[in-house]
Amino acid sequence: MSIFGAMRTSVSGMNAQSTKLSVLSDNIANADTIGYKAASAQFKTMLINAGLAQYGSGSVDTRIRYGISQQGALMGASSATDLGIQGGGYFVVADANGAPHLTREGSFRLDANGYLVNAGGFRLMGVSANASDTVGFSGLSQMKVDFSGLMATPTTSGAFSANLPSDASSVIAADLPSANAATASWTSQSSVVVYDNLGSKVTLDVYLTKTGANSWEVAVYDQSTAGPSGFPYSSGPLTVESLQFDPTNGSLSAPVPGQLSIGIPNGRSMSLDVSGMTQLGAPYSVSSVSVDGNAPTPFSQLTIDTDGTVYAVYQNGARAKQGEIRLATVPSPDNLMPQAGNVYDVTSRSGDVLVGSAGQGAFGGLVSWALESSTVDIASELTDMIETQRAYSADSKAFQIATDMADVLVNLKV
Amino acid sequence: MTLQAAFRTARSALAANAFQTATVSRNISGADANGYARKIVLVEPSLSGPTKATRIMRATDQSLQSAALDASSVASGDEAVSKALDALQSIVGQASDGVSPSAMLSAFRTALLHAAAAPQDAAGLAAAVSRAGSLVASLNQASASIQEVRAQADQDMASSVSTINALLKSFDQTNHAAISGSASGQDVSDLLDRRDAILSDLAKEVSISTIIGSNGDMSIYTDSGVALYQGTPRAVSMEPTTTFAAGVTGNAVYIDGVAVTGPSATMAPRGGALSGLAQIRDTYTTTLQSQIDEVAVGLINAFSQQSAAGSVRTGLFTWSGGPSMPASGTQGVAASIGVDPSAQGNPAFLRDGGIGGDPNFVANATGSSSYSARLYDLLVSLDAQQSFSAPPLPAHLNVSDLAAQSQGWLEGARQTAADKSISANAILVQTNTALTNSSGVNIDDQMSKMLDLENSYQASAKMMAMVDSMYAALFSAVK
Repeated sequence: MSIFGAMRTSVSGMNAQSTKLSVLSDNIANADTIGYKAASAQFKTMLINAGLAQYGSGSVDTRIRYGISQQGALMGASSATDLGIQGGGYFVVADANGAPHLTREGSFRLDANGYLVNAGGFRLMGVSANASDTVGFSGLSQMKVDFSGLMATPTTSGAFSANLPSDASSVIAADLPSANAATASWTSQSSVVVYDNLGSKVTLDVYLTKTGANSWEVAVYDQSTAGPSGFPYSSGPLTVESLQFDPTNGSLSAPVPGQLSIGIPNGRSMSLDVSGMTQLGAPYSVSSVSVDGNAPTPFSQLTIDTDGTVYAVYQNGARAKQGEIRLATVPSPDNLMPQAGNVYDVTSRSGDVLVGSAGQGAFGGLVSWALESSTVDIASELTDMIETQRAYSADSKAFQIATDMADVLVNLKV
Repeated sequence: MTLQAAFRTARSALAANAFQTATVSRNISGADANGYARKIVLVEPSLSGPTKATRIMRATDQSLQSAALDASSVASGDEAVSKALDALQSIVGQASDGVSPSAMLSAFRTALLHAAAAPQDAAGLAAAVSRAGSLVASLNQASASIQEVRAQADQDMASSVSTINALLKSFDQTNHAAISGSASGQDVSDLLDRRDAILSDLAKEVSISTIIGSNGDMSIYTDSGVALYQGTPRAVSMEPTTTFAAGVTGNAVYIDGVAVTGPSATMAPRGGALSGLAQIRDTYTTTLQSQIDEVAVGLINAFSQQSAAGSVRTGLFTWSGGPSMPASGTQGVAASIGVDPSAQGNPAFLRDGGIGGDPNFVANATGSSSYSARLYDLLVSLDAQQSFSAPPLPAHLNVSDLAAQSQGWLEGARQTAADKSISANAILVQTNTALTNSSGVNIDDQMSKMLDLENSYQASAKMMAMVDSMYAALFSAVK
């Protein structure tokens, strides 16, 4: 029976080679698909019981292997929401029914509803801005960016530092700005713009007045309540604080810590850091001023940090955290099951899903403005193809020889 | 590494190269632009090898830039002072040109001397009175011119204020665009150039110092510490004065509610056109005005008439408050000083006294036509020392010396201002050269970079051609 056995074996060989050719052609077709992982066909022998004197030819069976854990090269892309993963981990995306899948395809775009959708039509999943760090796979939700309205942030903190001239003359108590009298006089003045609850600008007048040796008074007023010639203001100072300077080096010695608490009209209470103030023998000059908060401003675009934090950037440069992209992985990524749309599903052989932040533990960092290219190498696919073609020819040759031999056998009788 | 990777690397190298070439051409085209800082491209290999990220940077030198802003403020302030003093001097006149009050005064004195030598000569007396007329005309003219210069300075201040407001407004827009752009990772270098150009325009009007915040936000203060821009532009305002006369004080300029010009200003900026113009309006012109007012007061005093009963009234020279005598320090006398109409009608009054028609003041009791005692008395009185309050000139002088010294004071002030302006300009040129050397565009440098780029572009293109031929070899192997 071995002639027919040989024929069956060569047919199984041809089958195996054509399966391999399918894999190769799929690889070549997806050579430019973002996040595609090359598959390969592996063969295993199937032997039939053979004795010492006889060889029972078996056949070959094909197993498809997926190189899902392979890193593709990151290449530059045209959008901040084009994301590549440098290292392990997968994006978690939801299909139209909301079912989660894993993918490395990171060409996300913001759609009209604020979802980040990739080229396969899957929505990116993550956690909301204030979620805890220990969110599992089931706790992930579809990322939604709110870019419709305006965003305003009230001021809560700021810093102001300046040098006060040590040689200035002192002002008598009755004329200090804190007394809010028409005769008020001061040594130096500045103003700082802050934002109230609705994002309206409030200008604070800051009066710095020398009251004695190394001793100054800071008084803060709301500029909108200023009288026609400044003092008196129609409402009293928002805060008054006495500043003491160290005569040995001119640095602020009291209050400790150097913080002023200012109740912004119609706004939050603001903590103004004045610890950088100095009193030296130099003219008054402001050395730094910064306040948080911003006026109402429309959405401009998204930026994504390497740790997966998604920020909305507003037109005035303000940033607001919108959420965090979480990556997922499994113990055996190569055993994930590929599905249409360049996504992978968890199988019993791949193991349980692990969720975490990008850049931590087994998870790689997110690279914005980059996409992961396909792991297919055309040159090696082509060489494999030549090999497959030759192997197929050899199998068909074996079949042909077996047929010829069978012919000889059949014609013996004539 | 695959052949495709080689392709991609070559492609990104071409892209980076194109970006650099674009930057070189940008640098060359911006070489002469105000505020343009040289752009430098940073080409960095990315983590994964084949891609190249490109970033653009500006060559800037913060300390040189702020030195250049300071120098430009000082230069434009000094230039404003120098120009206005030049104008003032060309109107008021110089000692040598024969039309200045000082020259007119000496011509009048000579005519008076001739009249005293020949008191019976009616023509001589008439000439003296006519010279007196020219003298008061020159004082009137000088006073009017001084006030014109003040009014001009006031107008220039008002237009400087509106320039500052306009600059701050466009700074606000540019600053916001730059912050927003840099927050979203765009190339904002052109906006930063624009912002620097606005700063250099602003520094010409008022001396400034700047603070850059963590997100690229910039705050502007005057060098005296008054906020001009922090989050929002601060209001800069000045009420222009329509008519100036001696004693009228121009309105102060307010920045953020703080007076920055005038005597009450404790936080006045130290440079810029605004402060130069304020010095002209509030200091130089008022000083000069008070000096020529004192010349006028001195003249009226020297020619005053005293009756036998001891009462005193104005003589040849009178003023808007005549016939009472003006006190030393009275403002605006130079504008109103005139020759008494009765002396103009009858020059003999000069010889005989009694100008104004009051017989109590007649000195020539006999009516003799050769009476010269009164004329000699007047000459003595004209040359006599009087007390003046015209700082910085001495308190005790005769009128001629006062007029001459006032002339000298103006000439001195003009000379000092011109010298300061020249040296400020020299410093400005020097700092600007240093700034251009450090952050400007060197065309030679850019040309050599262009050659480099050309070579590396060719190399990358060659690389692609080679990979392509390797593929071709592979494809031909597949039969």
